[in-house]
Amino acid sequence: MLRMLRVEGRRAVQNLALWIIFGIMVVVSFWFSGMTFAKLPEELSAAYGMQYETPTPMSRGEYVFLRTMSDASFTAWLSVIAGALLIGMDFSNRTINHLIYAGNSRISILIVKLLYFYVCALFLSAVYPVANCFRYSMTWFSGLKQSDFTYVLRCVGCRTLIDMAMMSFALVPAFAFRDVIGTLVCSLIIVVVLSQLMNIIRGVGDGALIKNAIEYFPALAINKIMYRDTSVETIRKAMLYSGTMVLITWISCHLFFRKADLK
Amino acid sequence: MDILRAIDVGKQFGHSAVLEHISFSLSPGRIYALVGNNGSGKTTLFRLIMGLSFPTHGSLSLFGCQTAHDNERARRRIGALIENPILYENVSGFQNVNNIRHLKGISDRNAVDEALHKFNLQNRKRLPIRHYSMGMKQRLALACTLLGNPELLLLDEPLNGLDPSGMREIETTLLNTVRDKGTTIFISSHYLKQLYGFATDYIFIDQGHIVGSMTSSELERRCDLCVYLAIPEGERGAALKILSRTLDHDVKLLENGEICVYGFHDNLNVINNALNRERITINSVRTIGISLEDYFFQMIGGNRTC
Repeated sequence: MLRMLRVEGRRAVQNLALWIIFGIMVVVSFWFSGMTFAKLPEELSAAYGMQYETPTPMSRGEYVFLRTMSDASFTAWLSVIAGALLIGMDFSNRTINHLIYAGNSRISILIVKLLYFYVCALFLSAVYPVANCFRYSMTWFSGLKQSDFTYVLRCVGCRTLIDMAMMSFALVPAFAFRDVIGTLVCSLIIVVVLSQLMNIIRGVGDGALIKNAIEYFPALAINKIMYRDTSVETIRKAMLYSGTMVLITWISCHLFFRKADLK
Repeated sequence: MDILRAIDVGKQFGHSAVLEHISFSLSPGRIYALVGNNGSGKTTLFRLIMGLSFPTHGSLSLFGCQTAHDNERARRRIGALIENPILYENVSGFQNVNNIRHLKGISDRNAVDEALHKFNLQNRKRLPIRHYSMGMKQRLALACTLLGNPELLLLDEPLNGLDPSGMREIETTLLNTVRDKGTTIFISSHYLKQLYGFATDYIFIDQGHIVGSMTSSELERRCDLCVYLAIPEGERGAALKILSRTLDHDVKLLENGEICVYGFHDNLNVINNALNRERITINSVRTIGISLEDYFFQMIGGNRTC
């Protein structure tokens, strides 16, 4: 498995498309970050905070960190591209066959592919938060206290698991269709349907069955758990939901790939 | 120990059977040719061997392995080239072979240059794959396949896209590999003349069934002469039964009404006596030598193109 991981790592470095997407992400992130946060004052008052959905007054650095961590729009689209590019293309080009020829079991190939996908997709999805924090939160980061540091770690950890759960949507079509077009079309449909569903949910009143059912759905959970005063119970529920989704996705991928006829 | 043993292997896609009741075994150090028309099931058989697909029934055993897990691990002892070359796009030829070196766990870095040198790609090794011609890609894929001195080479139509000198070059390289390393080769082609004189054993496949297997000397003997018998129409069925029962050779009724006994030119008296005993009239007897293609055509029914 280590051999496969090493080769996949080398391939990621050699993958020109990945570097192009990375470049585009850097440019778009800096541009988007300037548009969103440049005009904010250093200290946001409660009133100002209200305007930007902050529950309490806070510094611009912390606010940018909070907003960045709560924004999942990039991740959803990235996962579609990454799923098609990193997994679907491997099936289309039949380069995955080399891993089988080298005497690896399908389960170990699946594990390596999942790791490869998550590492690359998380690396790309980290560009936007890093760009934002680099431009507007450096002062706040340089003066972090112990409690702030724990808060940052918690946010990054939770966000990583939630991102993995969101990205997993693109994995199932990749292993089910085993080509670029099928993966791309299917994961696009899933993302569009989910975003529409979330818009609908936002308009539904509290206590409604559908809202309770998907309250901790990754993209929705992000907004719930990034605040400092979020209860441990809420965080635990959100993580359990995301973890379960990741696990279900892995099992689905395994079932699709286990006995699949490759090209 | 057999390098590969297939027992009653079958593969279905939906309700369509692509392979049925395939049984054969490969011995070490020999060159086996899998001969069949397009769509006869050659590639599917190779894909089953390499684990790209799974048999619907039957079993495949590689290097004497009994379990699926052991078979998976045993595949690292095989070099396979199935259908078109599988190459990592956007990287150079060197990087392609180097990636395969890492996958196969070969620590010797020089192995990459040696493999490229063997296929005359040394001067183009830094060139990105997109600038390679079809023949160069084919040679690069063969270089990847031979990396690490595999014990079995599985080559599905490996000479596609090569010019005549390239074909000769590859044949020589493969023959040297068998001679120097004792590698077993299982090679398929629909271009029969390529394999004639190259392989030591032949396996004929048609519509998912193995219709014959023989050594090259046996094939040469069978192709040497065939006996064509003209029998009156009413007695043909009985003659066919008698000859099939009596002789240890392929006997076929041809479309023109003649009965053909393949490779039976040693003693015509045996045929004569067998038919005379049953009072069957023989109108005429003629003997003709046939090519490998003709022999194959006649084996699969005689009216399909190859």
